[in-house]
Order: sequence, then C-alpha cells, then structure tokens
Amino acid sequence: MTSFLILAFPLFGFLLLNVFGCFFSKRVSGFLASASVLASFAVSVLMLRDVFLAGAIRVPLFTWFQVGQTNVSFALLLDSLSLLMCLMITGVGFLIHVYSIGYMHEEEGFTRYFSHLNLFIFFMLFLVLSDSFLGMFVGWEGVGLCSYLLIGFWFQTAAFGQAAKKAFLMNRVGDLGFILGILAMIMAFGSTQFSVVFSGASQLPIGSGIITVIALLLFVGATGKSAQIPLFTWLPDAMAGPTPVSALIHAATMVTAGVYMVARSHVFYMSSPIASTVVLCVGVSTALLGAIIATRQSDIKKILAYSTMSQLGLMVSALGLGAYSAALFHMLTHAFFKALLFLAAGSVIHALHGEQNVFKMGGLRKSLPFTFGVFLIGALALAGFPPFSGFFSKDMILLAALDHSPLVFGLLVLVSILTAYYVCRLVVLVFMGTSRSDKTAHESSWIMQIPLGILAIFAAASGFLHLPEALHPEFIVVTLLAIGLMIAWCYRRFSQVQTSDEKTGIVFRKFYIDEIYNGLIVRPILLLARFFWTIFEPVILELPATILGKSVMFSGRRLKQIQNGHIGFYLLVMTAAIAVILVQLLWI
Amino acid sequence: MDIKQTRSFSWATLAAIFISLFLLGASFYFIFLSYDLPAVNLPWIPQFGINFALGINPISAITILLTTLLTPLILVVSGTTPVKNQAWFVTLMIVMEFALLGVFLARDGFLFYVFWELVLIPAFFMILIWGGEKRVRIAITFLLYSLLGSFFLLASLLFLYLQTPAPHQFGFDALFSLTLSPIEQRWIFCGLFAAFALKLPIFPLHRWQPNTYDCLPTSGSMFVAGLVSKMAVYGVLQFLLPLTPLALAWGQSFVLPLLVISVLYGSVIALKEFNFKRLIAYASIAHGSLILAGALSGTTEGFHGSLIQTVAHAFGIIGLFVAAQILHRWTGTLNLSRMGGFVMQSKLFTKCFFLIILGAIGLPLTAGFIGEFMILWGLFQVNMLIAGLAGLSIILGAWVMLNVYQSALLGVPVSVIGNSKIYKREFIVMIVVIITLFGLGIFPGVLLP
Amino acid sequence: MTWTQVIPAEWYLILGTALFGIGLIGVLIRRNVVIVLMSIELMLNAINLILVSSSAYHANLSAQVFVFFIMMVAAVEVSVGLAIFTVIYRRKESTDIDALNELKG
Repeated sequence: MTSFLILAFPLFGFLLLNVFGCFFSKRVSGFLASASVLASFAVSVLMLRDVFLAGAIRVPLFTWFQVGQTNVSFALLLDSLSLLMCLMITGVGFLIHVYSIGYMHEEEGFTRYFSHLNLFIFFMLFLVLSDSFLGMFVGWEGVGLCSYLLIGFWFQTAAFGQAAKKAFLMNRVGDLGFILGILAMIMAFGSTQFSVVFSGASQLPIGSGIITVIALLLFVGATGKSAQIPLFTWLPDAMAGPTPVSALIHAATMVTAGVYMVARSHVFYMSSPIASTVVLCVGVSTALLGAIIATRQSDIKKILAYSTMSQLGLMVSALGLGAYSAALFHMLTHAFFKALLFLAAGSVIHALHGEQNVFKMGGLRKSLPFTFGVFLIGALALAGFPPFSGFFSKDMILLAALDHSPLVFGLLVLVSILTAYYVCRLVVLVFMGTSRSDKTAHESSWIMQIPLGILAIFAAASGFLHLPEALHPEFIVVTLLAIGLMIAWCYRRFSQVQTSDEKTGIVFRKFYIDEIYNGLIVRPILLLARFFWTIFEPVILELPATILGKSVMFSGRRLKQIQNGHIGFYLLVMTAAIAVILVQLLWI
Repeated sequence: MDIKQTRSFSWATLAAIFISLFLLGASFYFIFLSYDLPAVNLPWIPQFGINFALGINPISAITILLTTLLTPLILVVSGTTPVKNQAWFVTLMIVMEFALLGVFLARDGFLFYVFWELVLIPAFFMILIWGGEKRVRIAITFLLYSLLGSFFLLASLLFLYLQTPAPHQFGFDALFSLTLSPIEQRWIFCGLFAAFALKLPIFPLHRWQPNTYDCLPTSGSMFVAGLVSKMAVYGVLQFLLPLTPLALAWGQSFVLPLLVISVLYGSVIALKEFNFKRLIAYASIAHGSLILAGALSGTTEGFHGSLIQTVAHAFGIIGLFVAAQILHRWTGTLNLSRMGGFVMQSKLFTKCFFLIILGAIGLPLTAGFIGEFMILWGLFQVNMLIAGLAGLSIILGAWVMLNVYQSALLGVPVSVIGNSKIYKREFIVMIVVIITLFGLGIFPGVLLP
Repeated sequence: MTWTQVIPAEWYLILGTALFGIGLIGVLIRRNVVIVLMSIELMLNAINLILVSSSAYHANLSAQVFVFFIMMVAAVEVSVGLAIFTVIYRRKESTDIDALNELKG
C-alpha cells in the first residue's frame, strides 16, 4: 500500500497549494511542491527493491464502476517499466521543480504554477502506474489538462491561450483514437486490464485483424501525445509556456507517454506486422521532418521543440523496429539531455531578459560559462557524441535499424547527421562568436544551477547504464569524426553571422503545415459553423414553421371572405345549397 | 424596487425553496428507505380503464431525485436576480416541478399524458410574461413544437390503449405486457421517437430551444434545460425500449445517423454562437442527442451511460447557467466576444467556472466522462462508424467549451459595467454542482445500482 | 262539370312554379329590402297556390291545413321583418341591402 504514496504526495501537494496557496510565501510554496515530488521519488526508490524481488506487484485501489458484466477498477501495477518511468518522472520532475523556484521567482502566479506542476506529476504518475488502459486514459487526459493550464500560464496574452487550446484539442483528436482503441479492446477481450488483454492478445494468431485495429487506434492516441505526424503542430506552439514547463512536459514526460504506451502494449505491435510498419514509417518521417525544420529555426525554444519531435520520432521508429528496450533507453537519456538543454536555454533567456531569437544572441560563452558548459554537454549528448549518453542510446537504435533494413538505417543516419548539424548550429549561434545582443548577461542563481549540474552529470554518464551488447569501435570512430567535422564546419559558418542573416524560407516556415491544417480543417469547420448560424438556422429551418404558419394564415384569409356580410351572397348560397339537397334527395 | 415588493418576493422564494426541499426529503425517503412507493392505484375513470396510479422504478428514481435535488438549487439561485413579480415566477416553477414529478411518477398512460401536457403550461406562461421582446412569438413556437410532439405521443398511446384486451386499460402493467407485431412496433417506435425527439430537442426540430433559453430569465432556462428535457429521455427509456424491442434494430438504422448529425451540428454551430445562453442551448442539443443515442443503442452500457450522462448534463447545465448569470451581471451582456479578463475579478469564480467547463467537456474523473464513455461503448457495439463519428463530439465539445472559458475569462480585461457581486448562494450552488460532477466521476457506483 | 276537369292540373303547377321562380329571382337580385320582403311573400303565396290546387285535384284536405300554417308564418314574418327594417332604416337612412353590411373584410 505504500506504493499509493507515490501518487498521494503530488496530489496532496496540488490540493494544498491550490486551496491554501495564498497563505504561503513563495519560498514555502516552492519548497512544498518540490518536496512532494522528492517524496514520491523516494518512495519509488524504496519500491525498487520490492519489485526487483517480486517481479511485478499489483495494488488494487477501488472499483470504479460496474456495468453489465464488466467491472472496471483502478489498480496500480508496479513493474520494471512503470517504476523506471516513475523514477524518471519524479527525478527529473524534482530537479525541474527546484529550477523553477529560481526561474519563476518574479512571477505573479508562482503558487498557481507549482500547484499545476504538482498536479501534472500526479497525473503522469497515474498514467504510468495504472494497470489498465482505462486508468492510463485518465492520466492521459489529466496530463493534457495540465499541459493546457501550464502552456496558458501567462493568460494575459491571448496568443498563449490559443496555443494552449490548440495543444489540448490536438491531443483530444488523438484521444478519440485512444478511446476507440479501448472500445475495440473491450469488445475483443472484455477488459482493459493489461494482464487480461495481453494474455488474450498473445493467444490470437499473428497479424489478426482485430489486434491491428486496436494497435493502430491506440497509436493514433500516441501520435497526438508524442507529437508525431500528423498531430505534431501543437508542440512548437506549446513553447509559449514557461521554459521549465517545456522542459518537463514537452521534453521529458508528457510527450513520452505515447512511447510508454506503445512499449507497454508491445504485445499488440509484435503480433501485428502492419501496425509495426505504420509505427516505423510514422516515426522515421517524423524524425526526418522535425530535424529538417529544426535546421532553420531562429527561436531557441522552437529549435529544441522540433528537436524533441525528431527525437521522439526516433524513439517511435525504434518501437516500430521492435527494439523496445532501445526506445526506452533513448527515452531516458533524452529526458536527461533535453531537459538539460531546455533548462539551460531557460538560463540564457533569463539572462538576456526574455530574448529568444538566436540571431540576437552570441558570444555568451564568456558571460555564461557555467551555462555554456552544461549546454555543451547536453548538446553533445543530443548529437550523439561519445561517450555521452546520447551516443549509446542512438547507437542501439541504429543497430536495430541496420538489422531491419538498410533504407531505414540510411534515413536514421541522415536524421543523426541533421541532428548534429542543427545542434552545432545552435551552440555556435548562441555561445560562440561575438555578441549580437545589446544586453548584458549574467549567470543564473545557484538554485537554477544545481539542477542543471545534476542533469548534466546524468546526460553525460547515463549512457553507461545500459551498454549495448555489441559495441562496435568503428561506430565510435565514425561518429567522432563526423561530429567533429560538423562542429568545425558550423563554427566556420555561423560564428561570424549577423542579426540580419536570419533568413526565411519554406523550411523556416515549417513547410506551411500549420497553415495547411488551418485551412483544411479549422477554417472549413468555422465556415460551416458560420453558415449554419447565419443562413441555415434562421432561414432553412424556419421553413417548415414559416410555411405552416403562412399557409394557415393564407387559407384563413381566403376562407374569411365567405363571411363578407353581403346578404345577397348569403341568399344565393342558401338557394344553391337547397337545390343541391333537393336534387340529391329526389334523384340520387 | 420598493421595500414591500422586495419582501414579498423574498418570502415567496423562501416558501418555494421550503416546498421543494420537502419534496426532496419525501423523494429521498421513498426511494432509499422504502423502495416502492406504496403503489397508489385509485380508480379514476373506470369506464375507460384509467387509474390514478403512481409508482417508482429505478429509471424514474433517478429522474425524480434529479428533479427534487435541482429545484431547490435553481430556486436558491433565482433569489439572487429576481424578476418582476417574482412570487408568480416562483409559483410557476413549483407548479412545473409538480407536473414533472407527476410525469415521472405516473403509472397510468392517461395520467402520464395529462402530466406531460401540464408541464407545458407553466413554461408557456413563463415565456409569455418574462420573455423579453419577442416573447409572444417564442412562446407560441415553443407551444406548437411541444404540441406536435404531444400529438405523436397521444396517437401512440391511444393505439397502445386500443391494443390492450377489452376492457381497455391505460395502466402501465397492461401496456407493458402487450406483445405487438413487428409492423406495429415499428409504427409505435416512429411515433414515440418523434414525440420525444421534439421534446429533447434534437436537430432538425430544435428551433424553439435557443430562443427559449435565451429569452427566459436564467432560472427559468435552468429549469427547462435541466429538467424538462429529461422528460424526453425518461420517455425513451421507460417506453420506447420496453415496448418496441423488435423495431429497435430497424429503427437504429435511421435514428442513429440522425442523432449523430444532431450531435455534430449542435457542436459545430456552437462555435460561432456568441450569445452565452444560446450557446448553452446548442451544446445542450449536442449532449442530449448523445444521451438519446446511448439510450437507443439498446445495450446495457448505453442505457447506463445515458442515465449517468443525464445527471451529469443536468448538473452541468445548471452550473453553466449560474456562470452566465454572474457574467451577465458583470457586463450587462451575454455576448462572449465582449467579455474577457475576468480572472482578475474573482479567483474562486475562475476555478469554479473552469471546473464546470471541465465537467462539460467530459474530462475523466468527471461524471461526464463516464456517461460519454459508456454511451460510446454502447454505440460501438452497434456500429463502429457511428461511435467514431459521435466521438468527434469530444473534440468539438472541448473546442466550444474552451472557447467559452477563454473568451469570458482570459485575455484582455474588459471593464465591469454592472454589479460585480457574486452571491454566496451562487458559489454554493456552483460548488454543489462541481462536487456532484466530480464525485460521480470518481464514484459512479452511487448511481448505478 | 267541375272546374277541376276544365282547367288541367298542370297549369296551376306551372303558374305556381313561375310565381315561385319570380319570387326567388326577386329575392336574389333586388337591392331594396322592401322588395325582397315582397318577393319572399310572393314565394310563399306561390307555394300556397300549388298546395291548394293539389288539394283540390287530389281531394286531400291535409294540404289545406299546411296552407294555414304557411299563412300564419307569413303574417308573423312580415310583421317582424318590417318592424326590424323600420328600426334599421332609422339608423341607416337607406333601403339598400348592401348598406347593412358592417363586417370588415
């Protein structure tokens, strides 16, 4: 039952801060929020031993509802996968909480921010700890809600609210797929509990239709949450939220929910080659698209956002290849170095008082040495520079791709090259060369530096947690050479760039995908709504009522003329009537 | 308003609240303590086999509780923005509650029909007296649409009556033990469906609803939206399903697409509707059609889902209308595009409003989710495509509700023109709504048996 | 020889019908109220004529009883009708039938 505490701490933190938050000082709120996450982390660590011994533990909570013959209940499932996620979520989450204390120090809604952050942690933990798809879905929607709240944190700006709404709605589209997948699952297996569903699925023949359908529908949900094609345009817009939010939600945790879900349901994807292929295609194309767009962006957070999208694509490709442990490993390392990069970028932005355009930065290596250091570590990890963690995890994925097909391998290598390119470009533009900004930058406070440092250590070293079985020395050499060349090239290219060199173009404009979505989907629906509202409703639907009313009045007017008061007319009618009656009586 | 009038309407409202609370207590007693109302069965017009028969069954238990629970809430809220001749207004509401309870309690077809019609009369007068500018037109539209529905109901009822073995009976026992041939069942299905569809209402017969909700004073709209529309759901669950099982599969082929269209239509048009009350009306059409679709799916899950969603929807509507009332008091208008930035006015209101919106969206852990999920579950078993299309409503519904929240509360603050007060009563009502929505969302077992 | 054998029965019938027709046309066409009343009288008396002659030709007295009734009704009707007309004339100053129409539309 102690495992319940993992969930209880953040929930309690949320309630406390939300209801009584106005009574606490900023220090206390920040401390409380971080402490609750740390407590969850501690409990998760404690559970490690139990799970290691027992394999998997199931903790039933309570019966949610019961309808017909089906009984739906909440229960927690603690196994290696869920605990891994827990540790990652609470660990990285705790560091980000601490960082936020410093970053959000001057903000008005400080307490509100932390309460929402705690709520997010709660829902994310619920997501990974549930033992059924329905429970997972509760957490799934919950993190979507918190994402909405946190992206739109600065609600005074309408555009941020729009971004938040867009994120939520796009997630909802994915959620529809998820729900339909759940319903199909219930129809096939009678439950959404992992144990029931997976054992049922493994008894069905490979490639059976129902499994493919379920797998694909669930994957639609994953594309929404993990920003894959086609539901990815919300992620760059989500950068409207505070940077620590981007670090936590859009780099380390929420977006990995999709990856978690697919990994958890690997039984489905292994049984259905079609679904695996779809997953692979989507993953590879997303990785490619994200990397391409990132090479041309000029907002530091957007570069990182597209990079996240691309790396998620990489993870999804690994899932599609069947290399589930590789995907999860990369998810872990990515959480570290991407969170690190975002937080460091937050330092930069903070230092430059809100500047986010890399073409207006430069030469920060001298003024922000610590930030530069950690950022470099994160960047190298992202690029896959050995011996940082990114190298190992990417390596595993590339190896799996090589086993599968040379085409996929080639594409993923291309993605890696592009990744290296935009990473180097980013580092050079922000930190090298001469300063293009007129603001003086100073390092962030210690409270922001400590989490950065810890994350940097993990980003550097976590590669050794899971060494790939076959460590080819050729890989290391090739990678070192390639990245070294890339660094040199980028340095030459970008270090002396001017602010005016910022270019635009089709790639910069993200291939106009946003505009396409807007035009194809959003606008038509709104036009339809407008049509309904102005024309259809008032005119067409009034038609039956109007016709009825007018015809009644018309006939009334006509019939009224019989009673016109002309006595002669009356007499004539009387006479005629009598004649008719007579005729009828006498002759018929 | 002079002191005398002030006092008179307060007393009237208090008296009304007292009466409704008494009814609440009575219903609690009968439903939870002694399960079946000792069946009242007095012969009324024996020559036609009409009895004054009352009774409760599980379906009506829920609707009765809903009615008796919500009426005090509505009355409490109505006390905050009184209208002219508040005493009469409140009286009409009590009469409507009485008629509604009669509808739910009746165990005799004729009695049922009498009460069904009786509900119309106070509503009609409410619109006529307090309806604002176009009240005559709207009142007559309302009346005509309802009467059209009642006509179908009457026809079906008479047909069933004549089918019972002579001497003909109107009692429910007699009616429900009828077995009809498939063709007859189809006719009855069409007739009853037409009657209830007009009342709910669904597209394309919904023209009376947005106007009615808009012109009535807020508490009146709450009543009509929250409770009167539930009559139709009750009718479907109580009559349509038991009487026409054979026709159900046949009927679904044209009824379910119509309902899905209605759901989507309501959600889409709500995107461009800026008058808050009318927007609630359109959202109500969407939700109501979904409920009906669930009920007509013929599955246990759909059945339960429609019941839960009925409760969730009723409470949610009350919450939304309270918010509308508060916003109207602040800005003097119901036009959402002219509001904004009220987060600053009251943090508590923002939180309450947001939670109500979440309930309306159907976020998991609210009752709305459970209802929607079960309805989709039921529909999925019938036709997957229909379920998928109906599921689009979760996206569109979220879009509409977030639009409302964002235009009303976020963004650039608009100056407060009118009274910026929020009454404690309104808060209490909102909190009751929220607790119910979330409570049922987490523990729906309360309702299901 | 009785007159019934000299004058054929059809002649009375034709005469009565003709008188009735004249009266009917008068009612329908004439615009003066008094003339209309006179035409009604004419119609009534034409009926009387037919009845009486039929009674004579068929030796049946019940028709003559009917004639008494008609004469009584005619007398009453004329007195009441003229009385009403007198009152109306005082208000309308006209004997035109169409002038009596106060219905709008």
